[in-house]
Amino acid sequence: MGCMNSKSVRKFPAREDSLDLAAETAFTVNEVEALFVLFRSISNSIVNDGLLSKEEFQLAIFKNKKKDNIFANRIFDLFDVKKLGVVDFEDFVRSLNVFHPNASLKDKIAFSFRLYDLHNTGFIERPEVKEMLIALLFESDMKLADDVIETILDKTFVEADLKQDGKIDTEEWETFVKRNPSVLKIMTLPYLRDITISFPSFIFNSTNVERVDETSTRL
Amino acid sequence: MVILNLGRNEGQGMRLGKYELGKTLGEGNFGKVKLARDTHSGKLFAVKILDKSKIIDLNNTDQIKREIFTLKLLKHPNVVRLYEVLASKTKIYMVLEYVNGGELFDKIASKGKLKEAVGRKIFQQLIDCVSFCHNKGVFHRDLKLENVLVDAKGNIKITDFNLSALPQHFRADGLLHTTCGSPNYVAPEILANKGYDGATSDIWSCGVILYVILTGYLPFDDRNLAVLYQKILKGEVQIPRWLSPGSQNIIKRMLDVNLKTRITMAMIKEDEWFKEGYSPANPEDEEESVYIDEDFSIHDVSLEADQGSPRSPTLINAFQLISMSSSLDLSGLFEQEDVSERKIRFTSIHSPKDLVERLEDIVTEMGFRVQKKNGMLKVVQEIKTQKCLGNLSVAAEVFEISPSLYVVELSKSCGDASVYRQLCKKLSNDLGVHKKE
Repeated sequence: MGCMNSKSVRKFPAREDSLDLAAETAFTVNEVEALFVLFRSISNSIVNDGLLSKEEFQLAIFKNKKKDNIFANRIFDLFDVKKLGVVDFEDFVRSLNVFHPNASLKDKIAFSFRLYDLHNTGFIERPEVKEMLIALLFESDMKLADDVIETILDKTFVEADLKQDGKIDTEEWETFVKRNPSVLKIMTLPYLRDITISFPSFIFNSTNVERVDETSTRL
Repeated sequence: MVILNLGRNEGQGMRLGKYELGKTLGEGNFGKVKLARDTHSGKLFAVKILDKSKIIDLNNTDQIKREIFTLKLLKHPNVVRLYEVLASKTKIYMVLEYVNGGELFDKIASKGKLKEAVGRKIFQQLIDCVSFCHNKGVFHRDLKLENVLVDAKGNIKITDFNLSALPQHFRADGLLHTTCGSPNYVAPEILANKGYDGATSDIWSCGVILYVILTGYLPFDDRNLAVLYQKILKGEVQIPRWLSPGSQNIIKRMLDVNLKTRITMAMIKEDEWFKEGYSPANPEDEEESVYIDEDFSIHDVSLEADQGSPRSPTLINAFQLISMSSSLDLSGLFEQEDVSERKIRFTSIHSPKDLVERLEDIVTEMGFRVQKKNGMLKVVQEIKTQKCLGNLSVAAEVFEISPSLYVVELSKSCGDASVYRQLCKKLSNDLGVHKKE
């Protein structure tokens, strides 16, 4: 697939690029084109370079580029697949793919594990969970006594840390999530089902070609 | 076994992504509408095929985008649903709900007027739907029998929103200033070329539709367009004496040339003739809270984890709490509003039962309405003014942290942000645990 550098990203994606991304994800070619309309608007909100910076990402979600917290940073880090400090269109589509209602449960479980493995150790450890819990309480302006926080952590690790080694590995995480599916609720964005209706401007730029046979490309 | 003929003679087996296109259902200015079948599910759809070059040449790109935006906004059982939009180099395809009963126009043209009870049911659905559109800030501006489809069960579906107006089309005087609509159904204020209020003009068109439904002919008709316009401007309408007094009255009040005295949506819904056998549609039934849990639910995690009984709910785990973070909610990418403004939470020491009762009391006192359905509770504020851009709809969820501590999460699915904040502040102050405690 042709490298989608910042210059090419300003233009509508080439047909081959859209086809490749559609082949690799749950999105159709037209959905990839609609996502480009979204990407173009949010990636040019601060610097018009066709790349999505952390500030632009946070501005898109919170309408405020100074909303700096561990969750927002973590999500951006996972979207920044190439670890360049910016997200290009390719990475944006591939990362959002995990949130598609039709994406596999396996992918959603894997992504959520990486999300909560704050220090990239390959495990979700108690101090990390405590850090996230405190961040949530701070963000929500809620106050919980220290003993209540510890009780919640105890209860969670009794249920999730089956090997009782003080950390949760990928296997334990999968078992835990399957017993607590609401934990994965954030991993599905129903909006992605309506993406072509939400960003219809793509219809006037689409480079897709009609096919009239059984082997038709997914429009 | 009935085999559905998808019109093999017209482009046999033509595929459009996952859809197989069949016979032509109709033709318009910009293209055709074809029947289509989803090859995965077997479901039928109507695909509107638009010629891109025609749209661009006639400078109608905004009109198409507006129709798409409007249909996305209007998820109601009596509005034809738009499922997705597809495009190629030369064409635009709008995948719409397939309504298999045809136009109301054809039904009346072939069978004549409807019985009053049947006509009233159709009119109730029409008003339900049009008032829903108005509450969303959408004015149809081309309501006519041809744009009212009827399904197999006799329920109506409104279509063709390509002339509809959105709030941004109002001028500084708060009025619309473009002439559109079909001559026989058009309101006098539009013909007079003055600014007009989209809501009152739609009411006039609904009045014309009701007249045709109950009589079988148009209230204003003439081969000569100038004469027709004069009749409309004067509001010269002969209402048959054989119609019931109730229906005569409502038609008269809808076809009132005086904008100040013309009946409003709220008044129609209070009319005795209208109210007979009326059961309003619930738009949420149609769109089962795709984006937000719109229910008041006591979050019994034990049911999910399949351990313990509902009477002794397991305490919420850390990850369920963490996943409440608005910073993990990417829906902000698709919305105008800051996600953290849409969900507000607080801790409470009140039991779930107590919370429900007190929540009901507080919101009712504040002038909100509480909807209870299937053991669920939703807080709704219905605003009766015509220019209101939708109702306030708030859902609450309760999570148990410890045997005597709960998290209450309030989620706004639609409505005014400042009213929502006011409601949340009141609930939090009255029911929440405060930091000093």
